[in-house]
Amino acid sequence: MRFLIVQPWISYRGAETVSVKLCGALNKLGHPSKIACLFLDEGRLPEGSRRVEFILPSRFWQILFRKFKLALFILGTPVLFILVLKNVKNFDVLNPHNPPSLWVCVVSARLFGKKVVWSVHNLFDWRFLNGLDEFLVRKTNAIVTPTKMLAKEVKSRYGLKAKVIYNAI
Amino acid sequence: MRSRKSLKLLQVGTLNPQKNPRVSLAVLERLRAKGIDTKLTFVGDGPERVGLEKKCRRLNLESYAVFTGYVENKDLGHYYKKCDLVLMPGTRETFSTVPLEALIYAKPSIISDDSGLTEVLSEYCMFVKPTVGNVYRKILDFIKNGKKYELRGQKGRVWIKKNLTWERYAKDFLSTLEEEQVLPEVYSKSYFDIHHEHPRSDYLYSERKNRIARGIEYLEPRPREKILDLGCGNGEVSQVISDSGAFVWGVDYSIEAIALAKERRAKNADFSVSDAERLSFRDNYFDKVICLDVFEHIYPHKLEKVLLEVKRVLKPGGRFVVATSPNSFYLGPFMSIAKKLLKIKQFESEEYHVNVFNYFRLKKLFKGFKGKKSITLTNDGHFYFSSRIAMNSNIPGWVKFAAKLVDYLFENPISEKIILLSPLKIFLAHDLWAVVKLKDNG
Repeated sequence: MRFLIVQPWISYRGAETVSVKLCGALNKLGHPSKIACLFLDEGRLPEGSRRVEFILPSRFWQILFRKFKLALFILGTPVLFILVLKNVKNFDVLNPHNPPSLWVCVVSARLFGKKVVWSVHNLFDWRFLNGLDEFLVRKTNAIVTPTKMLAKEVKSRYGLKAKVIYNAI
Repeated sequence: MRSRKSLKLLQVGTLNPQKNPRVSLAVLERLRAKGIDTKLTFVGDGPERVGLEKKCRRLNLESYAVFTGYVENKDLGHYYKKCDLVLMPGTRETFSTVPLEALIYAKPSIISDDSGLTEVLSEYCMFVKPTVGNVYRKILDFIKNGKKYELRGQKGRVWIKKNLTWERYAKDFLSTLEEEQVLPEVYSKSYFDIHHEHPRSDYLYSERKNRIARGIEYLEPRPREKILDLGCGNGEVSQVISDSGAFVWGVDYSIEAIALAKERRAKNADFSVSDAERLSFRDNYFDKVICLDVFEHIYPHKLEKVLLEVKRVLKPGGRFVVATSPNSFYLGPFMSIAKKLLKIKQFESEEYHVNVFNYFRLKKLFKGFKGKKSITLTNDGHFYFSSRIAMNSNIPGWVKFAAKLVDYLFENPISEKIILLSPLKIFLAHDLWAVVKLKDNG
């Protein structure tokens, strides 16, 4: 199976580290995997970032999103969506992590008949978008959480079961 | 108290309010006030740094609190090696990797007790409510029982190296896609009792009987024909088919279901436990295959494999009859409204109805089959909603009344006639049927 891991951007933080490490481990197990993101936080990347392949927008967009948070806020989601749409046909499973990756992946996966495994690191309150969020979460094929506590939250918010996989080191 | 020349504390992570670095700094102040030679290193950067540095100057702790700023992963080991104890007073941390990294160097941590890490590190680290007093007391305990915590750290290191590898993580991750199936244990005797043998109302019982009769009508079993009853459950369909003189093989992945089917002692019928994705029959073995109320219980990617197996075991010119219910176009909107009104996230049926179809999805599913295909929609039962909730005492009376009203609106003789004779049935009929007659050459 070919996996496309989707993150808004990659930096040294926990969820991003999981994405990079997972990508490397899947490649080692013979499942070609890549990470799609808007930019890399150069100089602050998780260990192993050099050994995985990234799918990035053009240099212009990368610089724009890295330097201007407002641009990231306004244009981040549509650009990430286009990036995933352009590449989705080369993969079998999409693995979104931080928001808005999940929404982007579910829509792309539905359009191209792919599977989605959502890695939840935290739940967010989307306020007036909670209904849309719930609708899209229900379209995922599987949900992964790093703790039982979070799996319980997923169950109570979405009524869906999540598999607990403790993060590795 | 065991004497220590000095105590080296470490906090790793972004310096923001959520990580509570001020608690660590206050603890440092108290420890030093008690005469314990303590140093605290903050590894990481963030909005709190300036304030913390100011506070250090005010409290004359500049020499004892070190701020390294951002440190690359490859250099972090140096700090873990040098410290005695790691502080993680941050709240709402789902699963921070810092205490795990520290344990690789056999260093224990004091962690906020609302962290998800309690699930895996309770034997190796200390969990407290992250107040200055609690963290301070834990540190005193750590100093007093140094040997005990050292041993814990070493045990933690062994446990992490064995259990928390990325290879294990990736394998577990891959298994999420394989495990996606309704557990066979769901299909127990009580399941068949409630849903097939003794349903909650007479309407549901007659619905089941009508559906079986319709299935037999579409299948047209003839004496000596070989017929596969895929997902045979408790064997009620197989028994009816076998009465026609055909030979029936009933397969199901639930051991309990097959035991129930065997109890029927149906003539010309053989039952076995088998995964529909890997049937043990040779190619082109069956004249006909029937699959009644099964598709909605199989996840989509598994169903693709099941259909390939059906294609393999079905003879050219063979017939494949499928019934699946409920129609998602009909059920979906009402379910959503009911969930909102009753404030529930999931109905019991959603535990096993994991792949509910509509006309278009069912039609698309048989694209790979060459031959004559027909998809029809019917109402095999009546009082669709109200009969399902009739015996349920947890449902408020007004919901039961609303269900009856909806049933009456869609199922009275006039509206049902209109619905079932027009394209409206795609959206408003309950049950979906597919009959595939394969071409003679397959």
